[in-house]
Amino acid sequence: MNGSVKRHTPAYPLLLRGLSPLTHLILLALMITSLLPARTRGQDSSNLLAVKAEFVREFSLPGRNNQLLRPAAIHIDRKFNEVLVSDPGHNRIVIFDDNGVYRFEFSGGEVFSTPGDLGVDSEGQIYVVGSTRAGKRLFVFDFDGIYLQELELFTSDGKRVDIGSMTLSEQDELFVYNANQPGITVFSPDGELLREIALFEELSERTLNEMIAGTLTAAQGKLFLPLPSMGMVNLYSFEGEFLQSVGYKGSRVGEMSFPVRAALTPDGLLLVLDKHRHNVLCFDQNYQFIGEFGGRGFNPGWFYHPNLLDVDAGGQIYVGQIFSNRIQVCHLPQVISDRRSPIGGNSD
Amino acid sequence: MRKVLLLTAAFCFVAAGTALAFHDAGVAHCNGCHTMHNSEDGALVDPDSPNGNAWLLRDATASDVCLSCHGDHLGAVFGDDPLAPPSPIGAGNFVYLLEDNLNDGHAGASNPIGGDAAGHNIVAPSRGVAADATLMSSPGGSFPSSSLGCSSCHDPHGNDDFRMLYSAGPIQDGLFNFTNAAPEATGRSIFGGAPGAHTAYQDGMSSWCGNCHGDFHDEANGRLIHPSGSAIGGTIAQTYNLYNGTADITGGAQATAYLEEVPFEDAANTSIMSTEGPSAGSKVMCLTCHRAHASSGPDAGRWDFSVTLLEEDGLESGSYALPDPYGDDDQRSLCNKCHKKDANDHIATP
Repeated sequence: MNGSVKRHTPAYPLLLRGLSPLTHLILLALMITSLLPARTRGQDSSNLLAVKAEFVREFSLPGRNNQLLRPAAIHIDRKFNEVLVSDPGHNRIVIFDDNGVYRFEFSGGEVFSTPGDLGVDSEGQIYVVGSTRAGKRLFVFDFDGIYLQELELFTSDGKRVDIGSMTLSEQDELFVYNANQPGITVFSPDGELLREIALFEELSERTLNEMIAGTLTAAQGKLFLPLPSMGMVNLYSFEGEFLQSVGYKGSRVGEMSFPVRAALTPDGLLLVLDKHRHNVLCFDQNYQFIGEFGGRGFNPGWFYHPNLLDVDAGGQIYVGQIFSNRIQVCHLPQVISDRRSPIGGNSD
Repeated sequence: MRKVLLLTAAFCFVAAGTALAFHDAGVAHCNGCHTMHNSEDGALVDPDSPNGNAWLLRDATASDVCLSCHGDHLGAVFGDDPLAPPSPIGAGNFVYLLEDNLNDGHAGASNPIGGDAAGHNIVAPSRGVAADATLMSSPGGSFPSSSLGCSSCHDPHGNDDFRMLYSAGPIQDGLFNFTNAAPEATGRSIFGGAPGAHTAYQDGMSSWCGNCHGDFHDEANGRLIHPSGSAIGGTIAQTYNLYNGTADITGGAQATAYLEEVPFEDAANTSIMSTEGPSAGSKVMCLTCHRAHASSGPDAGRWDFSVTLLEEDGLESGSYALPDPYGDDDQRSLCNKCHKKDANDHIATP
């Protein structure tokens, strides 16, 4: 950059003949600004922060005509090292090991017609949000995929919970984002109402109307709720206390255009999937932006409107999308991993 | 000059102060959808299109962006499950494009009609749908199937027309030219509506559809085709008003005759809560029988045209059964709302 400016400097007086003094001042200011380091100019060193994904593998099923069709959810069971995938096109849940090897599957059968969010409790019971003609319901299967029961979820005023998304904590508490009345309702594994968390009470009706919520995630003692239309992820305690927001709306490096899912790595890095920037934003344990990977594309390691995200016990990152029915496994790029602050440290 | 500056400043102030919805007064931020140079911070925004996309879009397929907000939310026009679609409003749901069989006619199970026939095949790879596999262009016209998307009909930058539909003029940056104005209608809010709320169609829908579909339903030159955009006349209007289902074909009244599944156009349709039936001057239009987006009946039918009784819908194909507005096991096709051919079809129940 400096060399480039110097090369053009001799021509400067010739080019500017006849311009007003104000124009001279503006151009001078621009030249000085361009000589300053990027960080001093208020911009980040962006192209160092955005890198390609480190592609590991893509999930596939045995057999030529047996592939996933419009995958709708990924859940990693870190206890048993299994990867569960909702496969709405075939109305089934497919289970892989963490090397991507197919283990088994079970069908929604007559219970539901389209599976969605998934969870596994500490006893290995599998929770599936399934679509029925009466709406979305929560169903429980045992670890072999044998149907056990439907959990009837009601709020304290007797209204059926309109399931927007569902997540299960390490303590076996079910957190359900209520799509109709924005809030989180907490249940025991057998469907008993434990508590209700009201959200966004400060927002106007109009703002609420236009607000879109992503998929709720419970991890490491916190709830992560992406807000795609606002370009941020809200963090809450399990008791419902608002902790902070991470990120801000935008389309440049480090900004969130349409965050839809969040996940935590085993060592506490926050990953946020941006559907419109087709990438994964990474934040350290203090929620400081440390880099992003991925981008729009059709080859391995690139994403197209990704909507699924999770991380396994080994830190491998799973990114899924409907286009091409892909679930890709990536490593956290080293250049981003190197920027993480020591656990408990401060990136500032 | 000072006046111009003042006016400009005043306009900016007013525009900023209104803080309207995403599309109401232009989009929130242009770079949400567009990139000027396909480059940000030295990196290609779209690495698969190094020369950039048409209209400087960040993505080659604009519909994928539209559906991020309007697929599951804000109108919910593309649900998750073709067997359990969001409650139908007006134009119907694109989720039926995912169906593997829509055929509920005789032997429909073994003669599948795929989801392509469910409606307008928008190109939205993020939802698993692509251009129409059967039709290369719009039937009756020449709009290319491969370019069909949300923004083929709706102006993403917003306008004052019903549902932000384009009016006459070039669309999609000159890809196609509309010759007919946007229809006049009043719709319920995409944020929801009171029970019974429906789109109130007033005028111009058929000619607007004709922008792409030409004279598909034009009776001219002796063609034996169901009319569209024409007045229904007194006889049909009376039939519509009296018809209250197969079991009660003459028990209705004009004041309560309106059936959301068989809407009509009338300049007097100004209320989305109206229950009033048609008059002789009311018009049959494309959307009297078809949904604009898609439905779980072939040809985007508001009801399945190939079943005898509405309760047969979904039985052969396994697809979503379009609701019977009369809730009667013996209810016949809704063609009868205007034509009353089921007058002698009452099935005697023991």
